[in-house]
Amino acid sequence: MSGKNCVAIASDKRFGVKYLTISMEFPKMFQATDKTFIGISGLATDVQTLMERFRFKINMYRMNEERDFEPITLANMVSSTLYERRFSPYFVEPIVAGLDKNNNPYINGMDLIGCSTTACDFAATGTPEDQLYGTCEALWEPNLEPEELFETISQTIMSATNRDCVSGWGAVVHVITPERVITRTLKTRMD
Amino acid sequence: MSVNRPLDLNVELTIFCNVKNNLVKCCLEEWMVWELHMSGKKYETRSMRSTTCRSSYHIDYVEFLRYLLPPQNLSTMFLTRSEYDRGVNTFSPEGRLFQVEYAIEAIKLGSTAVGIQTSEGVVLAAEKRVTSPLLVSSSIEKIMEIDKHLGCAMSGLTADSRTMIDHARVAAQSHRFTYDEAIKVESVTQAVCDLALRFGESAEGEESIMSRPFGVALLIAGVDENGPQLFHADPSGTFTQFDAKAIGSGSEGAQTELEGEYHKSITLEKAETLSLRVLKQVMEEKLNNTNVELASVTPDRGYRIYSEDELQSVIDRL
Amino acid sequence: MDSFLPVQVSWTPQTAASGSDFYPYTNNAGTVAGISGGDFCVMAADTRQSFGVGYLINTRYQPKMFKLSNGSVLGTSGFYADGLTLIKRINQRLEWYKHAHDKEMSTPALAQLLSITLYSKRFFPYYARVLLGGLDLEGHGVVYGYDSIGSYEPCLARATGSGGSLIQPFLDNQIYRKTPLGILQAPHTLDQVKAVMRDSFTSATERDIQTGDYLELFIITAQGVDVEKYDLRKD
Repeated sequence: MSGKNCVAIASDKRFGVKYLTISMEFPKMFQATDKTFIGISGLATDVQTLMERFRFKINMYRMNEERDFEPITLANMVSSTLYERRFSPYFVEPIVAGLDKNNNPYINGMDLIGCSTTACDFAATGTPEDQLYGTCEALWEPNLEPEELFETISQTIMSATNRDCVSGWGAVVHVITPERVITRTLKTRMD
Repeated sequence: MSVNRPLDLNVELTIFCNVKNNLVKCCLEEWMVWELHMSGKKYETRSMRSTTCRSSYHIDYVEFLRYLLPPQNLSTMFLTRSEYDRGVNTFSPEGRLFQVEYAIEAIKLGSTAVGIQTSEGVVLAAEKRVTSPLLVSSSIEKIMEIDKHLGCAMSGLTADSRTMIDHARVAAQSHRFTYDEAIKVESVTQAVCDLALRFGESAEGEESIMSRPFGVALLIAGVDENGPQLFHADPSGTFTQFDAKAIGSGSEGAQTELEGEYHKSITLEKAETLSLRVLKQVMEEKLNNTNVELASVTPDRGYRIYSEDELQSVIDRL
Repeated sequence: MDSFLPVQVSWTPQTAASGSDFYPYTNNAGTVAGISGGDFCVMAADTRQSFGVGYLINTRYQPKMFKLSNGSVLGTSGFYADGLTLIKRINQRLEWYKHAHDKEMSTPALAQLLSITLYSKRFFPYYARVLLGGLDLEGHGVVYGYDSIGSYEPCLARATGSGGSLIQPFLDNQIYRKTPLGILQAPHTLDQVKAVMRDSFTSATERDIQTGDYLELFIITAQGVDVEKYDLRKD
């Protein structure tokens, strides 16, 4: 979710198989660069594999290029990584969110084979996608300050995951500003 | 070769006739067989249709009988009073249903029951005829619960009331199931009365449940959004609302007494004593806490039958 | 979005004539929502009617909420023909009830009746997502939410139909004020509720292709039912 010179990304903490909850502390997002995060929803093994592959590629890029990924470049890398497996895809839907070198927000969501969509407002993936989009549409407005953005994305993810029986069990929110990344965990219903 | 319902005189019906050698054999009822020689006579029919195997004449039944029989025979065979007594669903020429009237008479042989409506609730009281000192009086039940807000006192052939109370209970529960609310007193009374005329032969789509009219009258007491109410239902299926009503053998005396004593502002407590006082006057035995039943229906506590102790305390107030 | 019934196959007279893949349901979709307040109830629905899997719009204005003779409002989405049939049956039952019991059926009584009416077709259900709004016996607003086969519950705020999953969490957020501490229900005025409804449908219309064109609000108070109509996106 984008704000004024800031961007936020949030995910729930559940990991489960159908209706069986296995973990309540499952990370679905990781920090790709100082000002960019990748969040991945989908099949857990693919989520973990991809996180490692992306981390590898990000580190290789940093060492080879002696600079960090711009969010748009990162999104292209993610997209092409997914498209490599066009016919035996990873079952994931990633979101890339960050600030570019001019501190403008950048948000990108894509499907399992890397068809990416850049959004100026917000992107959502996962089982409560409908609920997230409905709530985002209603709560989001342009040019939110970091604290307002935090409140909006928190309300959104809590309301949406509470209406999805396989999401929730707490949530993590990262608000990325030019100066720092604010990370907070949210308590939600644990059922 | 059969004729339905020979006693419905004005019903148009179809008579199947085997026309063979000009001889028509009509079986009008099992015990009535006529043979008629039709040679040379012309018989008028109103409408006529034929099937492949036999001729059928759609005719007016009375007209057909007049054709078959001389007028005096017709009247002696069908129109005697005793015939109308027998059929439960046949009007007499004066427009009466004797069996239903007799059923109403049967109630006047029953034990007395009284109902009094007050603004605080309704009281039901009934006499129990304890015919032997060996009889366990608690086994006689003259007042029953229909639903938690509905009670019912009866007089007459109390065995018949089983069917009616069952029906009332089903109607009350069915209403709760369908509408998630308590049924109105009037509606449950109507439901019981719907049963009352379902005797004799069954009509299309409706099952007949009794071969004769019910021999029981009911006092249905209850509380709904219109406040406490008392209804009286008799075997003819008529129901009427009362402030106070007595049924059974002592009903005439009891009703007169009620008419004298009842007033609109009577309290529930006064109604309890009034109902027992009225019963006491019409009962042959001396009234005690085992030969009467007392129940009340109030907005707060719903239907409640009084224990022997509670009954005794009301008797003590008399 | 709709996982209760088998996957939708659109049905046309031609396919029916061939007899090969007859499917007795069509999804005409649309969204219905209801919010109950202290002495009022607001029911809302879009007026778009679409056909089958969704890219065809039958009409932009076909109301899917109906005022009933007892003053309640019944909103239906899903298969429109089933919705209409349901309305007809309910209206008939309301009339019978009036004659049998000499009073209007209350909204809670109707809620139960509606439940068993839906359940009576347990194995060939009405493919209708319904919401019932009205006032209870004390005059408080009530909204009853249903599934297709009669399971129901009273709620403060409920959304159903094609955009139901988009609107419901927003209503939770605005009306129930759900927090980790539980439900902190804030009192709402009629104007606030109407504003929430309009925001909900504007948002749902953005993302749900089967919701749009016009928004109708039925505002139920002790005085009766007022109808208001607003524009929504038509794309």
